[in-house]
Amino acid sequence: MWSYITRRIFYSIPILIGVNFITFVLFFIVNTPDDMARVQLGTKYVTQADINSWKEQKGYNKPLFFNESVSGMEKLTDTIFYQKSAPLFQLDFGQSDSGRNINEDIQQRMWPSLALAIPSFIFALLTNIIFAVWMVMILGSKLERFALVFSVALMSISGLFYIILGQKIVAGLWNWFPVSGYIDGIESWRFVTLPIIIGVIAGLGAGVRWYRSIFLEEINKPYVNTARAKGLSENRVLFKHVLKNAMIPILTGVVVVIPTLFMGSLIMESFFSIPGLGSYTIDAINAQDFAIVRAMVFLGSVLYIIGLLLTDISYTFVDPRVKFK
Amino acid sequence: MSIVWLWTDIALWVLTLLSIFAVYKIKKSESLSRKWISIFSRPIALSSFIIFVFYIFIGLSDSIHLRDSKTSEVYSLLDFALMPVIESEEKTYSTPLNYQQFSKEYLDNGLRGFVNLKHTPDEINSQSENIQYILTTTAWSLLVAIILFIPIYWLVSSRPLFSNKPVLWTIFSIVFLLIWVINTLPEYHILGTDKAGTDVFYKAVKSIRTGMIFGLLTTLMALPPAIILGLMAGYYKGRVDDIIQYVYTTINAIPGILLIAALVLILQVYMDENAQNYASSLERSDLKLLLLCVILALTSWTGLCRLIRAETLKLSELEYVKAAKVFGVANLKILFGHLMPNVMHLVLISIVLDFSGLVLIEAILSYIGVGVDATTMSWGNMINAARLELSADPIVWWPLASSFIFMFGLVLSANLFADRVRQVFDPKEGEDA
Repeated sequence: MWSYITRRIFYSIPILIGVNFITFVLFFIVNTPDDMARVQLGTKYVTQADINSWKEQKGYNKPLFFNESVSGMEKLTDTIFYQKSAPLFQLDFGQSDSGRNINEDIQQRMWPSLALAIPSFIFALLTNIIFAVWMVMILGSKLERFALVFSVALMSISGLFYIILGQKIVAGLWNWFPVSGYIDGIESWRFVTLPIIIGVIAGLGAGVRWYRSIFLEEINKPYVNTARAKGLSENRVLFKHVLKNAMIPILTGVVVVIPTLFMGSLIMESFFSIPGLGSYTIDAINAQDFAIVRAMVFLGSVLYIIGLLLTDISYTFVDPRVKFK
Repeated sequence: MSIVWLWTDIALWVLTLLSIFAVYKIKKSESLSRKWISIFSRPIALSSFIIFVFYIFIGLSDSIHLRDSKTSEVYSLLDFALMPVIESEEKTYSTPLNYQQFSKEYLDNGLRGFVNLKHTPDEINSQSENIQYILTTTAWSLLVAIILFIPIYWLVSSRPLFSNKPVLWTIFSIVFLLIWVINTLPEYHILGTDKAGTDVFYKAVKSIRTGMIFGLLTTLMALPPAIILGLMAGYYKGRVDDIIQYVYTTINAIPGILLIAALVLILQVYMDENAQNYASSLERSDLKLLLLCVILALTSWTGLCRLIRAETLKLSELEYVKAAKVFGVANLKILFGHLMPNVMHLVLISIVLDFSGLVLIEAILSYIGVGVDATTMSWGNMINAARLELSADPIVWWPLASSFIFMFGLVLSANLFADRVRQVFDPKEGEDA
């Protein structure tokens, strides 16, 4: 098993290099360091000398891919591409364009993000599955038809609507929770409860339909017929057999998301001013701080690849038919 | 008057021609027409399709632009229909169908009070007169709608697909709504005005085109790479498959919204630097909308590509493909003549499913600040502008509510229709065709 995991890790290296290359092309070639300097320094009254000194200060004054002026391996290493990429692979993100230490920021901001993302994920998963199972139990009835159309309606409403209205009514009018903000520690529950509830409701329509389709696919398999033929009750078939087997596609579909929870939610965090990684990214986008955006893109990709790896491993745990190859 | 062709206009009309051609093809093929009839045999699917088509017509009428030779201002056909409200800008907020401004101001006699709006029936001076006027207009419109509906009913009810209550009600509601709007629009701000005094109904209607273009063009631009690469990966296997899989895994690995944000930021920087290249702000914002669609297409083709690859892997093991190979049919012919028609159901399902998601994403992108141009009217921009108005006292709810309702109508009808399309075309669904 370890050799399998090591091999999979090696497979993911070219993907990371690809990601890094794409982001590099985006952030340094399409948008040259000169452009970045102008954005950071403001567009008026900036001389070329100012731009050059900014570039020197931030380490953007080298050639992009190939440095003619030095010898040996340094031709490749003394370039912006190498200097800005190699540290990323050690998860060293350096400084933001405004001079902050990105690693410190991430370490500080990951906790609020996780405090919101993990409960949201768990509650959403449970709610979706419970409703999906309920819909399978009443399969074919009028109520189920209605529930199905209702879930389509739920997923046709913009997520922003749930957030804006939830914030206005629950926090603004009823005063059940604070409108926005965050405090570290135990008290944080007061601030994350409302975004969690809203997140669960906003994802309910799409989620329920997704799990329902998994259950339906499972229910049409021969073993279900066998179980019914044995004379098992419908509930026993559903909970003992179908639910257990449906766990395989559910688990493997869900595992890939888990590492990316770390990145936080862009929209929720910025609406509820939770100082997590999501709002960090939004702030960086608005301030056009490319160093932070690039760091977050890279981090997100690493987490996604970890997710893929975990998916493959989890397959082998839940489904004994899958062997490591 | 001269016609101005914006890039998105051209794209949209090409698309319309393509879909007319597709309808023609479907009519000729018996198995396909049977499937489509089976889709429309569900009243809910046909009703939502009618609503969807209604939206499309509004969007299309907003996609023929004319330039006034005297003032050199550009108006679309829809703008001409909405001219009464374009020309009557108020000073500030007013609630839907009101005859007075929302906030008090100093009157001529030195007291503070509500000022009458510019765009309102002349003879109205009190709230009860206003309500009476609106009720009269509504009753009048209802009467006209019923009279107009009789010939439609007579034409349509002999067809089995249309002769059921939900469909007839949908058609009647649309007729009534149209007539009501035609009667009310010259006299009122139907959905009130926003902070700058612009008509909210006008903004919400104009946003239909933006949402439509965003959903349609993006989905369609994502198709060629998804189909071609997916077929190639599944058919050639080996090295080709490895490379294509590598490409889409890499793109998938980058968090979607961040990749979009990064691309849009770069686009913004580029367009700001080359601002002098665009003839007018309309053409600039239009180009930005088009490029935004390209960006979204670049990040969203991977899902369909993976599905097509998996399906092609299965198909290429089947006898008919093997036979074609043995007979020496060229690879290209096998790919596009034999395999492509058999993955088209996946393509169709993905078109209808992705559309509504994209309309919703537009709002979110605008909120983050990487959406359509600030001068383009879109539901996202409306929501973004209206967000803070909710905390105003007294609460300003109508711009937000209008954008949500218009968006909900489009997305819901698209979703309900998509659901039925998937049921009929997806072999896995097979519940009841």
